[in-house]
Amino acid sequence: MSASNWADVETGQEIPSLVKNITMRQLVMWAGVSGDFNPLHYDCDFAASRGLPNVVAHGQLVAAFLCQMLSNWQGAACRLKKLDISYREFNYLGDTITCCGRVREVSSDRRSVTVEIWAENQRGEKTVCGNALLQFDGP
Amino acid sequence: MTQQVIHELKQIVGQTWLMIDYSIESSGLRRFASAVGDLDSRWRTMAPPALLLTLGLEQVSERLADLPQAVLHGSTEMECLDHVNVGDRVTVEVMVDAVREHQSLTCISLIIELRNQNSVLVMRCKQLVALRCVS
Repeated sequence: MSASNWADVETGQEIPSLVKNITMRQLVMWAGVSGDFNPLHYDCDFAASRGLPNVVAHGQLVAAFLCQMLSNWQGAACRLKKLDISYREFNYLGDTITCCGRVREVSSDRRSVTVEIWAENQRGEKTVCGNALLQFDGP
Repeated sequence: MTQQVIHELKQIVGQTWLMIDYSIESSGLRRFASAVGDLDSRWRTMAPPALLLTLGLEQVSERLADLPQAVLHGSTEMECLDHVNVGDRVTVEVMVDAVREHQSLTCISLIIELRNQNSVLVMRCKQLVALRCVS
């Protein structure tokens, strides 16, 4: 987002969504970079022993998807200042996750915006929900 | 280890649990971007906030790995205070905020602070980890 576009941000505006498909390759790659090798995230038998129908995507990976959606929208002119999210439901291997956002508030000086963000699965269930504060860094 | 780590955490509520040093390297940023599928050119030189959120959790995961409960992530609150770039060194301090047990659920609240090589606080976050007993 450029500085001129930033000036046009309005409350209620929806931001472009981001769709991700959860693959085993991605879960393994995420485990490698995050160091989270909890077998719930890659071992189907272990997940079953914990009463789960499939391996579970890392919550932090979905948080990273939400951050990606925000940075795609915000561009280099502003940055993520705060993030507050809750992991409400599991995302499983094979799920299609759609990251969504809607502007909740624009500060009076137009230097920051609060965005309601969420990730929903292919059944429309919101699995991760929260808010983000973006701050404009430009002149 | 079983439940010993829970007992240990209860003893250090309000105190530091872990201190870990990291170097921010371009290879690490590339691997992270590839894992997420976020190839924004900004992340070639600057650490994305989502990467910073993972720092320290590797050590936390290792210490909770042997628990019989399912280890689940409950929530994340994060405040970015400054940029972190390639070449920076980051010290992660993990503090125990609270340990609460309620029936089959144990919740561990952690405060995690990241400081750069100049001791500047660059990120503060609160992670809630839930340990759920399973049948």
